[in-house]
Formats: sequence, structure tokens, C-alpha cells
Amino acid sequence: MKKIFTPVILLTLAFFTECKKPETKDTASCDIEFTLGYSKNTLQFNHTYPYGSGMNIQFSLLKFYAGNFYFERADGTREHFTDKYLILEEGKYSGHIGELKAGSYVKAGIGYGINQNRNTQNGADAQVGTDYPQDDPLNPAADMYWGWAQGYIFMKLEGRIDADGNGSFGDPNDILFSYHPGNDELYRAFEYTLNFSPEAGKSYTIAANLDVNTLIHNCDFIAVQFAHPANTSGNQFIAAKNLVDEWGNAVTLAVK
Amino acid sequence: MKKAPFILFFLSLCLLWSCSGKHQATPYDFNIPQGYPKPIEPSDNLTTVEGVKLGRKLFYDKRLSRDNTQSCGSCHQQEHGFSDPARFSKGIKGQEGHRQSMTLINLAYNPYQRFFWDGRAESLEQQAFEPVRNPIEMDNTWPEVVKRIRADKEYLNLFDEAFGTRKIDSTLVTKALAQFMRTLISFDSRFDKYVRGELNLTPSEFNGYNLIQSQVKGDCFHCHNAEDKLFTGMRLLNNGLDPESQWTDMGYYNVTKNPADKAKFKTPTLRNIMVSGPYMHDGRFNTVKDVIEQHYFFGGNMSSTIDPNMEYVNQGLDLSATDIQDIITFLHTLTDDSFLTDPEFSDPN
Ligand code: HEC
Ligand code: HEC
Repeated sequence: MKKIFTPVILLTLAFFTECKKPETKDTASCDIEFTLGYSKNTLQFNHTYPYGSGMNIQFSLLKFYAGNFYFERADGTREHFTDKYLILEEGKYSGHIGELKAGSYVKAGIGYGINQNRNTQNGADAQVGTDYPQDDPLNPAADMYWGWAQGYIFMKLEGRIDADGNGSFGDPNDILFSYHPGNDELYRAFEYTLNFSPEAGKSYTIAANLDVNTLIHNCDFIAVQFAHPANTSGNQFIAAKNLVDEWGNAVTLAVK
Repeated sequence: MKKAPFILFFLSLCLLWSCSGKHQATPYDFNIPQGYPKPIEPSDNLTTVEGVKLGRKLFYDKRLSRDNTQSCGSCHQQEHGFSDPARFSKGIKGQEGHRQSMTLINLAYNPYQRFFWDGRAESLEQQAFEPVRNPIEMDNTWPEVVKRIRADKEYLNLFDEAFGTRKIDSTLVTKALAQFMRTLISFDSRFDKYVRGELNLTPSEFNGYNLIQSQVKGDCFHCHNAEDKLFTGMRLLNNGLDPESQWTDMGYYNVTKNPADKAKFKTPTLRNIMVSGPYMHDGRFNTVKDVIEQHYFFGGNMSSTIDPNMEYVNQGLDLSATDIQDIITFLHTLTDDSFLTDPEFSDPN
């Protein structure tokens, strides 16, 4: 009888250590979810908001890349998610950042666009867009790629303005606008305050509140209606720059 | 030791039993060239060689229509990019609808899963239910179609091979049709050969290509992008065909009831465009030249739902007569003769 005991005990032990493995995980699963607001309200597409003096505005599309996330501890050390990109668009303003080391963080960084290394404009790590899987954010099927300027479109903001303020957006003097910044010079990374102490094995969602009214704060859609800048000078470039420069002010982070 | 033969016998029995219980159709190889997107298939209807064979037979089977005169292929003709050269297709009773037949090209790519001009079907499977029972198309009923198919021994075998069952129903019929339609892939035009480095475009073709991809010239790429090789973003948009006072067909609005979707239609591909006229949801233009000269050249009509990328709405496009000719010359390079004549896609009967 004794002979059997030893192997059984050994096996049970082996079994237990096997099972324990997942528990030694030292990371937390981390998602991000953008909520779009307009001043104090939730932003609704094709909904009318006041604009300038006596005009109205409607947004029909806001689609953007967020990526190159990092989380920073009080001592300045960071956990990076370099080269991780998400596409955020209507119906899907959330995504998975990755597995973050448990600990205590005080700041988080987000990049808006595709960083220079990865962007096909100049990037050393760039690859042909269609070589990414069809559902990869970097595949041109995501409709965020510019053939003629050799690079990714970092964000798309489109809509219309009721210029005479009569409530209709279809009059001949009403205005369409379409901003598609996408140029290495217009890649932006911002750092936000975020007190975040993820525990191993748990799942978290970072709530990113994006106030579109702040984002467009410095844009003049009447003066520049189309900003798809292929160059780094001129009206379109400046207008697009005025938009992307506001990502820092327009977003605040919290743990959901 | 004596036990061994028994165990072996038992094992082989198990094996036999498991083989007969499981049905295995052969996965279909889409044969997508390097650098081209991979198709999107629903997990509950993966494309198989047997499913496609069955779907093709059904696609060309006139018994799907009440009086046995019309198949899917009647209004979706291969040599026309699986569209109909008639402005409005005639159904079996000779009645005309109010929409032009659509091309069936690269339907396996559809990130938004919206089919028909107004996007009312959310999958190819769902779409395929409609023509059979549409009174101005095939004017039949599904029980009648299923009855006719069940009476045909050949179909019993084909369904067995494709789906492992002889219990034919409308769901399996639409699944097979969808599988066949997903194989209608056109990536072998002159343009594709240029992309693959097999030939050079002529200066005129190349200029046309640059013009449609240029924001200050043709400005077509926002909606018919060449970059992903599909020449359509497949979104439902208003490209400004009519002023608001003249809207008759409300398109996507009929599906969503959202006023912001009025007069929006599915963006068609520009592949095989030169053989797939007439053009637009109501077939109002007979030639691509008309599409450009009578519509896009003027920038389109302003309205409350026109797409903001119709950038030149109040100005019109800065295109010379030669530019327009070059765009058309380029669009000819999207005609894929091997697709339009591929025997794999033609009537097997
Ligand atoms: C009488 C002519 C006619 C027949 C027969 C017909 N179709 Fe169509 N098909 C059309 C027209 C017209 C449209 C566009 C209708 C609309 O948008 O309202 C269309 C649209 C489609 C589309 C949508 C394509 C897209 O890109 O969204 C598919 C797929 C399709 N048909 C498949 C079929 C199949 C499968 C059959 C046979 C079961 C069939 N059709 C029979 C005329 C026809
Ligand atoms: C704002 C998006 C947009 C732009 C820009 C655009 N198109 Fe279109 N295109 C569409 C939509 C949407 C349709 C379908 C409209 C309808 O039927 O009501 C269409 C239809 C067409 C058709 C008819 C296709 C068919 O099968 O019936 C052709 C040809 C075409 N476009 C060519 C062009 C060319 C050439 C340009 C540039 C000069 C261009 N388009 C720019 C959105 C666009």
C-alpha cells in the first residue's frame, strides 16, 4: 500500500503547482473607452449645436487612432505599450490596451496617430499596409490610409455648418468641413493625470472623456473647410495643427 | 497479450463510427494574391468547394422563380460584372423596380455588412432570401422553391456533400448562394497587373489614376479608395446627386428612419465599372463619361446629408477635357476580363 502513496502524493503536488501557475500572474487587463461629450452634453452625431455667432454645427464623423499608450509611476518609471494602435469610431469607441503590470501609477500617455517609425511616410518599421491582416487597424481597409501622401490619416473629423443659422444645413451657402490630419508633423502624444492602482488578475477600463467642443476650440471651419495637409506648410496644415494640438486639453482620464 | 486484437477491433469500430457521424466538406481556397485583403466569412457559413458548387447551380437555376423563367443570373450577368445592362431589371411579370441591379464583385469584403443600395440586408445570407419572394422579381415562395429543389435527386446529393444533410430548407439555400457570391473576386485586372509589377500603365492611364487619387483634382479616393484595392469604402453615403427638393428615393433612411440618412446609398466599387452600366441606384447615367461630366464635374448638389467629402460642392472639379478622358482611360484598367469570363462563375447548366 505504502508503495502507491508516494507517487499519488507526488502527482497531487505536481497537479497543484500546475494549477497555481495562472495565479502568479502579475498583470491586470487594461481597456480604454472614449466617451464623447460636447460641452456638458453627450455628443450625438448629426445633432445640431450652436457654433460661432448665430451659426449651427453638426458632426457626421469622428474616427481616430489612439496608441503608444504608457503608464507612469510616481518615480517616473513607465510601462509602455509601444506600437499598439486602436481605431476608435462610432459604434466602437473602446478597445483593449493590453496586460499592464500591477502596481501604482500616477500618469498615462496616449499618442494620437501612427508614430513616425511605423508610418509609411518615413518610417523605418513601416510595412506595406495591405500586408497587415484585413482587420488590423493598420490595414488600409480601415479607411485611414492616404495613397497620395504616403501615410496614415491620424484622425477624421467631418461635419457641416448652417452658416446662415436658419436651422437648415442644406442651403447653397451652408458649409461642409472635413479635417484629415495625417503627417508625421501632426502626430501628437499627451500625458494625463491618472491615479491608477491595478491589481494582478483583474480587469480595468480607463474612461477617457473627450470633449469635442474643446478639441475644435481653435478651429475655424468657415475659414478652412478642408484640411487634408500633404505638406507641412499652408492653411490646411495650420488648421489641422490647431485641431490635433488640442488632444491634450480635450481628454481627461479616470478609472471606470 | 490476448487482449490486444480485441482492443484493436474496438478502436477501429470507434474510428469508423466517428467518421460516418462527421461531415467534412473541403475548405475553399480563395487564392487571394499577395498584398490583397483576405475575405470576411461568417463562422457559421465557411466557404467550401461543395457549398460553392451548389450555390452556383442555385444561382443559375430558373426554378427559383415562380414561372421558371428567371434565375439570379438573369439580372446579375457575368459579362456585366454581375449586373444588368437594363436600367431597371424586369421581374417575371415584366414589372420594373425603381433601382438598378447591383454588381456582385468582391462581396466577401464588407466591413459594414450592409447589402442592397439602401443597406437593408445585414448579411449576404439574409440578402439572398429577398429576390425569390419579391413580387417584382422572382415572385415565388420559399416553400415552393424548397419543394422543387427537394424533388431533384441531383440537388439532394449536392446538399449532402455541402452540408451533410438531405433536409433542404431555405436557410441552407441562402447559405449556398452566399458562399458562391463570396467567391466572385476580381483582382486580376490590368491595374492589378500593374500593382504586381507585371506591366506599366500608359501615361494617360497613370495620369487618370493620379487624378482620382488627388484631392485637388478628381477627389474620388475618399469614397472609392484605390489603396485597399477595393475601390469602395462600402459606406452608405449621399454623393449629392439631387437637391433636397427632388429627393424621391430616401435610401438608407428607409432602413434607419434617421433623417441624417436620407438619400444615402451604398458606395459601389469602381472595379469593372466600364461594363456595368447604367450607373447610380436609379441607373440615371448611361456612361461613365456622363457620370463625370454631368455629375461629379459640377461638384454635386448641396443638401443636409451630402457627404462632407464632396468637397467641391459649390465649385465643381478642376478637370480639363483631357483629365476626364484620362480618368476614363484609367477606369478601363479596372476591367478584369478573366473575372468576366471565368468559367467557374458561369452557368453550369
Ligand atoms: C429581377 C432582377 C433580379 C433578380 C432575379 C435578382 N436580383 Fe439581385 N439585385 C437586383 C436589384 C435591382 C438589386 C438592387 C436592389 C435594391 O438595392 O433595392 C439587387 C441587389 C442584389 C445584391 C446586393 C449587392 C450589394 O452589393 O449590396 C445581391 C447580393 C443580389 N442582388 C443577389 C441576388 C441573388 C442571390 C439572386 C437570386 C436569388 C438575385 N440577386 C436575383 C435585381 C435582381
Ligand atoms: C463622397 C463620396 C464619393 C465621392 C467623393 C465619389 N463618389 Fe462615386 N459614388 C459614391 C456613392 C455613394 C455612389 C452611389 C450613389 C447612388 O447611386 O445614389 C457613387 C457612384 C459612383 C458611380 C456609379 C457606380 C455604379 O455602379 O452605379 C461611379 C462611376 C462613380 N461613383 C465614380 C466616381 C468618380 C469618378 C469620382 C471622382 C470624380 C467619385 N465617384 C467620387 C460616393 C462617392
